[in-house]
Amino acid sequence: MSQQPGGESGSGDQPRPGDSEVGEATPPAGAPEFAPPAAPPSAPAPAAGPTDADQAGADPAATGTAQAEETALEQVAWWRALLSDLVSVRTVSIVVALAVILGVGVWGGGDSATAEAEHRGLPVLKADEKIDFGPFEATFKKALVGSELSPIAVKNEGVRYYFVTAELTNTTQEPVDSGYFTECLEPLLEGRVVPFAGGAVYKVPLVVYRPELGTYAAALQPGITYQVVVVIQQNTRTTVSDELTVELSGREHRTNMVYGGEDWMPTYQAFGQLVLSVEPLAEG
Amino acid sequence: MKLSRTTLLTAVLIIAALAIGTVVNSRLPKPDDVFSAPFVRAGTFGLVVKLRTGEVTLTSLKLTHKVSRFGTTYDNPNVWVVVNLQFTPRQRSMTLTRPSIVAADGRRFGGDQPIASPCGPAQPDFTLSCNLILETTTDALPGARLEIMADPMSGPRTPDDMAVFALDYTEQSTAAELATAQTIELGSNTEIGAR
Repeated sequence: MSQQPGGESGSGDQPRPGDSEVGEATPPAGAPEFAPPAAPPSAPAPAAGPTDADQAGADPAATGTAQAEETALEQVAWWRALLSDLVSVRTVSIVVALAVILGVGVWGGGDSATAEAEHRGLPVLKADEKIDFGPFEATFKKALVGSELSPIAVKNEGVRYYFVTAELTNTTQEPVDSGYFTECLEPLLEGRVVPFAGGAVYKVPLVVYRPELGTYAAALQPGITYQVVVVIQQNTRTTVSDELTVELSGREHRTNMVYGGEDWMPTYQAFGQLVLSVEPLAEG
Repeated sequence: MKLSRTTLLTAVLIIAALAIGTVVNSRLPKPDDVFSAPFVRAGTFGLVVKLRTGEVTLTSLKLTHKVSRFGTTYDNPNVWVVVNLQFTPRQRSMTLTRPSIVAADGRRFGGDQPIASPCGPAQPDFTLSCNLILETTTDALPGARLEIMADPMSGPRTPDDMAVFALDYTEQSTAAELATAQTIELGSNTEIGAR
């Protein structure tokens, strides 16, 4: 009953099912060669016709074993016939791709900010690390969230504030405006567009304040380390984030092609992500 | 080829001359430095300094940690320099540029200040008395100078008139003045007459 399948139509060097040690089933004509899965125990056995052993009147025990083997082989052949037109390199590739897409959909969006930064290849920076921005060195301390902080943030319907405290030093020999610092910070935060005067909405730029004076920080003088608060506004229609991620970029001293002269120009290239846990601001 | 002693000596002299020339060239002012250098007008307390855009008279300069404006006191761990001056624009209305303090080691203090104190807009030929405020540090004052550009659009590397006042502070005089400094009320700018 044994027979080498695909002797003429096979691919030559590739291993064939017929090369196995146990036995082979004859595949349907034109079926591709593959290793079929084992038939489940409950799988219906296909009807078997009379065998050579029955006809020859052989030993009943040997005949029983041969019948069992034949039944198993026929089940394999049945499965193979059933799936042979489905299993191919193309089909397997599609299934794998769908599994990858499904996996990313299920687990990809739920990653923490840290994992996202690592995914982008940006180093993750934490509180109390000294960070060089070019003209500034900053050490971020903590992030607080609240609805007001007098006198730098007034209560405003629909607006929530994040207050990022930091030590900020101008490391150059000249005054550098604090706006140069906020331009290096890009909070990865939903709801940055907030209600504004007259019913308008506006993405309010970040502002650096000096809490000791209660004023806008303005120009930062050379060599002085300031205790500052960076204020970020968020629309209250979004949920409060328990982790604040800020993408950081630096500035470099080069020619200002618009106004001429040398200036601290933005690099527009993120060098890291600051990740701070957010604590609620104590009321009062 | 055999090199003669004269040839070797000539080569050494050429290399030495090139090295000297390089050193000298590095110490000479560059064209850009000359083009961008401001026109310095040295000033003295109480005397008028004539600039392209008007006249400036430095009347007083005080150091303190506390200034007050509109009832709010601003207490600074650094130093507030309160500059009182008179400004008379020429030909057109303008606001005087913010002054800078340049420390002996080259550090420059100035730019936008946390407490806005613009001197202007002053009208042509009308003299405005202003209190301007500058933040600096104690160690920047000994040997420092005050610089005022003629135009708000001009900077220290702009070829424009610049009034320069030597401040004559020492470590001792700085510490002594700050030790007895009171809160300074900034007040408002006042017009004190026409020229």
